[in-house]
Amino acid sequence: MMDVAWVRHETRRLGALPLALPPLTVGVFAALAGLMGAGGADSRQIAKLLLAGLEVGLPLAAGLIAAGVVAGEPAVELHCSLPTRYRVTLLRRLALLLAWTSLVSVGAAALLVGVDRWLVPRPFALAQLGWLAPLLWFVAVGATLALALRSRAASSGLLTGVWLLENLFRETFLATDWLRFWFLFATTYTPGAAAEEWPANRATLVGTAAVVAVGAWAMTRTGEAHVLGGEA
Amino acid sequence: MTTEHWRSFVGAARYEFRMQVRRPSMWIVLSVLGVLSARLFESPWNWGRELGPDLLLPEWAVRLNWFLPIGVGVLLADRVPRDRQAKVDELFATLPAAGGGRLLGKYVGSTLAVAVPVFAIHAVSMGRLAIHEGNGSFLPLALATFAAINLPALFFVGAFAIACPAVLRVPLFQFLFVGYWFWGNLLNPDVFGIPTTSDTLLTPVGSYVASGFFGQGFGLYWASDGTVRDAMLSLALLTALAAAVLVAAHRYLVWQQARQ
Repeated sequence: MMDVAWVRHETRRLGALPLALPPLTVGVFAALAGLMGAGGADSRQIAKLLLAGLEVGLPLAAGLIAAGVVAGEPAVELHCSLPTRYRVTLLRRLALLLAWTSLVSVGAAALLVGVDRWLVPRPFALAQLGWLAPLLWFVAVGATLALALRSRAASSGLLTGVWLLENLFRETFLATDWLRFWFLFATTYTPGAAAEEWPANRATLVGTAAVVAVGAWAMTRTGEAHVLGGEA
Repeated sequence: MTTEHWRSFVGAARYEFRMQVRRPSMWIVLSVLGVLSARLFESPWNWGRELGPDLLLPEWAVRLNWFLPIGVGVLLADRVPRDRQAKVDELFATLPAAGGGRLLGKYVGSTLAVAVPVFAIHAVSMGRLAIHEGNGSFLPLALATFAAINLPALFFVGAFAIACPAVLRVPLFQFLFVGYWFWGNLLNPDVFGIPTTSDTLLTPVGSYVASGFFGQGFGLYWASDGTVRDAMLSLALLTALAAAVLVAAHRYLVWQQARQ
């Protein structure tokens, strides 16, 4: 039988933040949507904000946590002396983070379908790529940046920079043929318009996240790299 | 402030400044955000010569305040937790002038360090504008807008980025801060109908300071009818909030140390 004792242990080690932040983010966006509704905003605008919570908000939160999980471990030297390799521990923690964030996102998406505020014109299962693709991308890139730079602030700064870049230049991303495939928030900003390219866009993001994750896994082969300090 | 506290303040400020100003990531992140701002807002030298420096300079300073402080807040968030991670916090606690002076030094040193690339971005854009205009007589005004609009925003953001991670986990603060920045500073209340601080004296983006001290801009910021009194009040409120959050963080760290 598979040993799953690590699930409980690593969940405790992750702490309350990765558990609390995804529902908190969904709650904040729901509260903002409520305020917009009370202010008489258009129901489509409200649905768009709620979708943005899942596609734009949650992935950034998960990416920042992933960078913190990798670069913020206070006892790396101790981990390097344990029978379970440190890279396996990191993988387990990131998998737990992804699983929990995904669970919250699916729950929120189902709720949005239930209250008729779900904007993605796709079968429900496929539509989940709307939040899953950027989530995988931000977690993979956040963890990789933290491994490469060995600094929490540097990795989260760059990750936030990418997030801002794609948000601020969304029109350029959508108007440029080759950039369209790399646009992380294609579901929120073009629910109908880019429908034809949407599956290819999602596939590109999931594929990139997979390649980056493999690169990160290769980077963790050198255990000593974790022990070396990053920036001051 | 006793001599020990003063020395620990100066020592911490100097050391934090030197550590922060040598971080490649700070230069990379803020340069990227500077280029993004210039591209997004189409750079002041493309805004039209007829506007003149009096309108153009405060507007550009406010536009720099739209996105650069996001990078500043995210980058400075690890300064206090870093002491714990580098396992030097207990050592610092044994020093004769532990606490307040060091926290203040950390704040002043690291915030001044992030102000260097922000000033460099401002200086490069002003240099480019001077070449375009064939006239550099507006440079003293450019310095004044930087001092009155950009520096207070950096010190306000710096105070929260240093103080809040003493209580909150770093990624939580970073995420909440990015959310706050969009909600509390960039959200146009007329469009979204959500309560926000973006059109109040509490916004560190500098709209009231820009309009109060330098006259009306040409429409990016909403509070373009601020008076000199509004500008002074806005600066006083932002300073008071920054001081309050630093004092609270100091009290919390002292309390936490006493518990150990």
